[in-house]
Amino acid sequence: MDAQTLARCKAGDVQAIESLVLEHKDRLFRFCLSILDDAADAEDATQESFIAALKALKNYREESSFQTWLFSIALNVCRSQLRQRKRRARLASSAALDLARGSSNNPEREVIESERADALWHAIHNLDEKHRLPIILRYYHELSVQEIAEVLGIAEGTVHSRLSISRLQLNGTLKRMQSKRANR
Amino acid sequence: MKALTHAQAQEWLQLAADGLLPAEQQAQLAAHLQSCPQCQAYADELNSLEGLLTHSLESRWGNPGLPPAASRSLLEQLGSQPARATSTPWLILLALAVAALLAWLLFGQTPAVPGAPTPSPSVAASSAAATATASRTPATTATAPTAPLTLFAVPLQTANCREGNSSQFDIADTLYQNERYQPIGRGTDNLWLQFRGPVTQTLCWAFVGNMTVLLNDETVALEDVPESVLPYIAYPPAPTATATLTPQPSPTAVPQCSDGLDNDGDGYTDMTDRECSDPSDDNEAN
Repeated sequence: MDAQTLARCKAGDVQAIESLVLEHKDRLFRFCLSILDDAADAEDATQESFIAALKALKNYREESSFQTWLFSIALNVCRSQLRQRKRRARLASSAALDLARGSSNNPEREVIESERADALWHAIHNLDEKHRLPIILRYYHELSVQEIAEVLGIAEGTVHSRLSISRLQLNGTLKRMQSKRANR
Repeated sequence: MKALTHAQAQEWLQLAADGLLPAEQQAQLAAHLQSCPQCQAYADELNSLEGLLTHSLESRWGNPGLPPAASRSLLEQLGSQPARATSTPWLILLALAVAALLAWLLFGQTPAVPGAPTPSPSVAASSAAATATASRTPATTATAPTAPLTLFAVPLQTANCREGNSSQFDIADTLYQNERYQPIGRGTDNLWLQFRGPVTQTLCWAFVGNMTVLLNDETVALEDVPESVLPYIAYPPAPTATATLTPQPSPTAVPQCSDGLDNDGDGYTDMTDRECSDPSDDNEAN
């Protein structure tokens, strides 16, 4: 986003705000979806994040890209939603997540690949937040280590360390799965 | 050029996966892989995992956009929200006018009217208070008709604001480096400050060790801030234990990243250890 549009947004120019929203809404929705894993919750979080970002726009200093700044706000909004979810004891049920996946008529190889992708998804889902988020930001949102550091407010070295640990852990899960299949 | 060990090569492969390996080392790594089947196998495995990670996450969520109905609703909401920037000057002018009227009614004095550009009320108030209270102790300010003391906390680095006073509590919001935040309370041990989260607007706590506390723009120790300016607030009870197989440390224990010890034995202590994300992080190892 250019400085002029940003200044117009800060001044409350509705057209500039609209163009900002149109530019970022889909990426922000996918970001919220990847944290909340629920499309309806992600829609709410997207709206809430834009409203929060607009209110906080005067604090945006262009030290990071607008997208990473927006993501860092959305992360707080999503965390807040997850806490409410936890409080209401609406557990993010793995069973419900499974139902979201359609059945496949793919050939055997694709089924095996799909099984591996599923197993990997569950392994990612089971990582604690500080290891799961860097993986999602790197491999789904394709952010650089520097951008991930800005979104999460941690050092780049910490991001790399968490990514490395997570990859080792996830690779271990895949290997155990393969050896289980081989023993069947 | 010194030959790479397997461990070094594998560490470099991890760095390369994150785009952090310098070009010159990339060439050295490529040469090593050509002559080392073990590291080449590690590289293939890592490569395959990365491909599968992308595939797994993309097949989970796909590439959706915000649904049209939600987009419309969002634009309507934002269109009806005046930006704060346009309304703030009027609020400031109104507040100054009310303050001037009150001062005139109470003390019969005409306060200085700041000219344009208008300084923020807190800055104006803090300068006035700094002059007025120069020879007074904090205890006497309670009865003196001076402008109130203004207190801000400025994070030295981006900090988590949690629901309580340890890393066992959930993160409620984020306080950004070099921003000014007004604390609304402090813990009884002067180690944590309470804020209203700037984004989530929920009450949250941040560790004071990573912040500069400013009283009328002067750096002060939290212990020296009068209670009339910043009240003591009891910490929330420890979060209820969830079913887990591993014993959890007591929430009153000092987190590993602020306990003054090198917990993981890597030669770095607390925030000098790159694995520590903030002083409330209770794991120095990762």
